[in-house]
Amino acid sequence: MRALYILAKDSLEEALSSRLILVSLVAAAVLLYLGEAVSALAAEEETRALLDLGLGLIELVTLGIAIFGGAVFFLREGETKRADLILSRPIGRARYLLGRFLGLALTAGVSLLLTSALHLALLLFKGWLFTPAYLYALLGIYLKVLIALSMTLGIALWSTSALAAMGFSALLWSLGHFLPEVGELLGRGGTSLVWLKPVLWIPPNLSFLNYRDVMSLAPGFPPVGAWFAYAGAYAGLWLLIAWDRLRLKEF
Amino acid sequence: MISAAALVLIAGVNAFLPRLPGFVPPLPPPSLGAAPGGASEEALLLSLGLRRLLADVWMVRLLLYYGAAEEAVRSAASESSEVSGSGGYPEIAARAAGILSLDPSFSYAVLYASGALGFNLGRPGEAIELLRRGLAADPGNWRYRAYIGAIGLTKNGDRRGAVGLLAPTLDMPDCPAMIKSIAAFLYIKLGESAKAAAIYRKILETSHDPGYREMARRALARLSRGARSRSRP
Repeated sequence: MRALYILAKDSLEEALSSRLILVSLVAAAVLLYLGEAVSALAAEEETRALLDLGLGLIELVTLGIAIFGGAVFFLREGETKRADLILSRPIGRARYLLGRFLGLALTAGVSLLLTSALHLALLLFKGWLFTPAYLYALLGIYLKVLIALSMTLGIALWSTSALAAMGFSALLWSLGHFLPEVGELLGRGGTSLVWLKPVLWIPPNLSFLNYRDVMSLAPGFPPVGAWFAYAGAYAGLWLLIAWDRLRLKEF
Repeated sequence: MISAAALVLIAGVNAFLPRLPGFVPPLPPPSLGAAPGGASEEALLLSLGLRRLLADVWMVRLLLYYGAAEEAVRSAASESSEVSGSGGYPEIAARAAGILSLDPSFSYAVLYASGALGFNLGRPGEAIELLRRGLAADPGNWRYRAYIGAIGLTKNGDRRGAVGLLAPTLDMPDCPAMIKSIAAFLYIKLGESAKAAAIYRKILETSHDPGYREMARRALARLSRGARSRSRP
């Protein structure tokens, strides 16, 4: 447990020292500022536009940190021989992977908290009335980002190319939001497109966690338990794929 | 081998997901192409999971599309003549229906477009059809029923009945300033200046639209001049 904590803390500190968080925060602040100007176009629906734009930006910035971190982390650890140094100690590779995953997840969490605090301040300044749905939307975003992080780690370790890992993760992310549309398109194609159906079985069902889509429609408590169960199982299986490669990897 | 098994399990998790307690099926695919805008823009925002933001973008486009007609309505209202819009604006209903298919809870878009069609452009049939679509998507939204009634009564020339149905909707946060201004105008026509002035004051205090705020300021000044001239011996 202590080894996990040290590895996670080390990953977080490294991310903070690399100014990843600072750069993402500055980018988020600039984009939110620009977003405030754009949302003014929506006239009477200004706060709604600012809410949607802000949540979208928060997700993209956090996702960027997670995907970038996940794609380059183990490659960099291999290049700098840090992985050798860590694995020469009595730390199993599974624990090493989990520690690094937790560290990157913490980094993404810190970014999410800071950017959402900025967003919330802007919304409240504009006269928006706070609703707990905002917090559920943030939780949905965070779980989606953790899924993306686990996918990226798995793909990066198998592909050994950061760019390919980022590209493939982004593709799965997009498909994950498009599943109902792709399903409908395949349905329209009739039997000739049946062979494409298995493509829909692998991407994560991100629409399920996209609470901000339905937060005005579904008052009450969202299925948080089901969210955790799905995100935990899906991310856990991608971490298993990552571990399967890591256990044989020569650094 | 382990990775292949994990991929199979991932497929299993995705297949099992709809059976999880509390699973909510995703919103149906929107009717893409209902509103103008590049298909690439729609695909990009949808694939990033920014469905509500796409609805906002389409709403801004609808506001810009109908903006010119609104200007005409504002100036007509400020001259105290009959409220009537100009131009055909054939895409209003389709654009609003597109927004509704993206976000079934976006009542402002439906109320705004149906108000424009029913009260300004003299197309109550299209307005009521749009409101019915809104009701199908969000059956609990009583403002849609009130608008259907008010548009029907306006068509039959029953101003008092129409404004009576609109009145409870005016305090709701999703009530467009355009509808408030129409209600105020109907009150003026009915000789109830105090009620009209109260609505104009509300527009002045709450609307984010500078055009409507300016219109309310002018209308209030006019009502105040009218009241002074009536009180003179």
